[in-house]
Amino acid sequence: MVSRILSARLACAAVMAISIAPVRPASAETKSFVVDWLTLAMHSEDGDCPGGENPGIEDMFRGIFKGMGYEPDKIEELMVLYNGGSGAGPIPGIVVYRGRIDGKPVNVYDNPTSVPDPNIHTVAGRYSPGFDLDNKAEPGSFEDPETREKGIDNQFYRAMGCIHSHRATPPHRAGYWSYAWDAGKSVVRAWLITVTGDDLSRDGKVTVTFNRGMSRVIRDANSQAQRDQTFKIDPDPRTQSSFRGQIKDGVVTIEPGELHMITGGAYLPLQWDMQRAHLRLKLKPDGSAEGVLGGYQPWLQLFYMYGIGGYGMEGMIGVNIPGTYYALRKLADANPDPKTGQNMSISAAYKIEAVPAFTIPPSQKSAAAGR
Amino acid sequence: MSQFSALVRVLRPNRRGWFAVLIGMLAIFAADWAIAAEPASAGGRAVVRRLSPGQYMQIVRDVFGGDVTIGGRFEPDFRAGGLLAVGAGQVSVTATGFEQYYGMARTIAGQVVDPARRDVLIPCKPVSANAPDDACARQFLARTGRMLYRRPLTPAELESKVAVANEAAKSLKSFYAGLNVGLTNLLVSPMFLFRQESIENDPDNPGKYRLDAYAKASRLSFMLWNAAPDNQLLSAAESGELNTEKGLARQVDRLLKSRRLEAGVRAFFTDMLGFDQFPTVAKDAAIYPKFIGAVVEQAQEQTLRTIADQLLARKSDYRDLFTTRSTFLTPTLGIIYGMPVDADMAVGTPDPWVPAEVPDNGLNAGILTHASFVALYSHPGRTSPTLRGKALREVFLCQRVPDPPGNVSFTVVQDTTNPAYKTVRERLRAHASEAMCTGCHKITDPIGLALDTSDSAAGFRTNENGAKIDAGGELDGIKFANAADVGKILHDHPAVPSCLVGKLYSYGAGTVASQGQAAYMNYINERFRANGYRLPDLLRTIVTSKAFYQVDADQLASAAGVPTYSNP
Repeated sequence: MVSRILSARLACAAVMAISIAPVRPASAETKSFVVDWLTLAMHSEDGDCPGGENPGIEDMFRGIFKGMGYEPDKIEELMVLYNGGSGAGPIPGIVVYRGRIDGKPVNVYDNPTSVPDPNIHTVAGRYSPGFDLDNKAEPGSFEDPETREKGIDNQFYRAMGCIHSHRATPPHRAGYWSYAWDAGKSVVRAWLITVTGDDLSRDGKVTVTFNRGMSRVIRDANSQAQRDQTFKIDPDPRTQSSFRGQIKDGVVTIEPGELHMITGGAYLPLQWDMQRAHLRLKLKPDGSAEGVLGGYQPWLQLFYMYGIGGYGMEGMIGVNIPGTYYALRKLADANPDPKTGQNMSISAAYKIEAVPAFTIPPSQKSAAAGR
Repeated sequence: MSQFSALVRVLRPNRRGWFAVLIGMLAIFAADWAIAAEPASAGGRAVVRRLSPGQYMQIVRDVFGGDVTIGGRFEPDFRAGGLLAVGAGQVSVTATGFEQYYGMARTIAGQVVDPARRDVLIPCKPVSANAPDDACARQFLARTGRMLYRRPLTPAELESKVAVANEAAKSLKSFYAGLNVGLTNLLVSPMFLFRQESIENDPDNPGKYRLDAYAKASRLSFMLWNAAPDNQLLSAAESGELNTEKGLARQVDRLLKSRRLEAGVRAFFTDMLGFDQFPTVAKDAAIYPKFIGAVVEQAQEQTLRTIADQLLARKSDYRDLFTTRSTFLTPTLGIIYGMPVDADMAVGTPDPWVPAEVPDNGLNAGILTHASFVALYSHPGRTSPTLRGKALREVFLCQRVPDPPGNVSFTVVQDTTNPAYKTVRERLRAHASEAMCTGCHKITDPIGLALDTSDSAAGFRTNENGAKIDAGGELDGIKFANAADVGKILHDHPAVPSCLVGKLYSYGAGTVASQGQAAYMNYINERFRANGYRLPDLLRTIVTSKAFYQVDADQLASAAGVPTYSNP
């Protein structure tokens, strides 16, 4: 089924759609979108990090060297090399192999607990976009700055939001997540969202599906995702999730469920397995959509996103990777391990910005390739 | 037979009816015979034309292989009589242009004599690689020179090139380095860079002239393939076969049946539709973010694919180009038009092309609504019904629209934010109220406004600044409501096929038909009509006609620089 915005502006497209695809019941209306931006939902404010922002790259490295027992003179000697533009000399080797197991150096990104917890600073602010995933407005949870809902669970933001590259206040996007999604957009298959209902201009029940396209996003002249691009849907079931939901005052919400997606790009989690997924998606008059996706994710999936980045993630993005590991582990708030009691999932929320698209079911050939 | 079948269908004959069919068929044969006879013509001109970049590159590919790199930049082309092919007869080579040609020649020659290619491209081996070998050089230069000059080299020409290769080989102590210089010499020769049409007395028309067989072969080959004559065609010229009616027909058949015909047809329409202007097309990214670099190339390809499909594969009526909903799209063009494109597009692969049907919404159809027309004839930030109307009249109806005077104020038209004039129709009405503007705008704007449902980047729209677009108007006394209607009017407009005939003749002959050729042009037009406005038939009619190769003695006398070369 070809689907997309059935606006008057694109009446011709609707006719085209009918000509190449089975016809939906006349009463059904479908709008499809391709995700242009998916970034960690956050709401940074002055004073929301009681310990201050985490150290920048140079100070982080100085702290690492100090923790390893280097004398101040040696540390400054190393930092001269780091700033000399000569590939940082011996620094990568020192930083990467700063872990110790049985006294022997090990790769700290593969063995984040091989160093003591650096106790990175975390967010204690009032606001964060997201959802009350556990229906408990417990003290210390966030308040959504837009809906004013309390009890918002977004521990992922709490863990990362005092790192400079992870700070932003809407409508701005945090530097790291902008970079990560933008880089992925050029190489990974597109995320698609399709909303189907009897009449999307009225309140009522809807079905929301998340899919992956078989192709990547084509960028427009401003480097944003092109509107009206056609995507064949990836037949891989690991990239398909469907939810019952409703539309009210032009805002689509879903009944909590499981959302699965394969991203497969650098700088992003390779796999998304989100439990109790919530969605709040506003369908805008210009045909685009904007909202928040939230739920619980395995915190190890999120850690690996940073861990795979390794030295580059620390040396360019300023993310202390073992510190991130410890913070995610401490702040995880769902799915306790039956044996250890350690929570294995963490609440997270993401801002979604999407533009209209056409979607087509996979062809037989594509389906075969997908298998 | 189709005419016979049609008569039978119409008359549904009994015994008497069969007699009527017979009479009818006789009438048809008589009419056909009447238009089958080519009238006498004053003849055209023998023209000296600079090779177009496309022709230059095609010849290099044909002679040396498709993997030879050319490099360099070509001199800008010049449009005359609505065609670059006519302008090619009015240009020369500047000093800077010659430097470029020389650089390209060196690049090409260097690759030909390179050890990786020499065994394939050079038909002999020298006695010594470190010394001249005139016999081997002569063999190579004669064979290659024949293909590059589109005729055999005269003995004097050949020996001069052999001498150049010899001298260079001696100096450089390398046969191949010498051959490199000899080949470079061929590639920068005016005999290669210019199509020089030589003439001879016409034995069928004493006192008159015609192109000689080699010039005839070139005119034929460049017309149908946009390439130099191949070996078979040159041999037909050499043997005299091409100067016989049957021989010419045989070669025309061969060329028309070849897959290379599509390249020739594409080259003609690329010229006619003004696609050489595309490198300067730009759109304001803030207003038309969908218009990305890929659209520029794909817009042209969409129209050329449509033309090749309609006119060659389906052998459709030429006029159907203005009404057809069939086309080809890529995912990127689908975005531009706001249409879904069912294509398998893998990450990292080029955009695939798929057949598509434009929605039957009664608003848009035909190549006039392709991005190759509406985006080409628009401004970067707004549409231009004037440019579109002017182009429509000049390109498809062969009507000349005067350029605007130099002191016109375009302020009203350019201000798209003026709340008093929300649509371009309103802005143009205000602008054209100035007396000096009215005349031309009456000619251009009504048909241009019909296309205003396509924005500057070819996206479909129904309103501008919140006001509904009125695409209605009148063309030569016939009212229309939208672009699709204009396509239908053009389909039935008598000037449309005759304009194509005129342009096709000019494209092949390199010059606009003269008054003395009026009867001949009427004949071509009539044959085109009788053949159902099918392009391959039109091409056949033109290239098998005697007048296409005849040279007007009067024009010959006034044409300075017509070469006097004669067959060796």
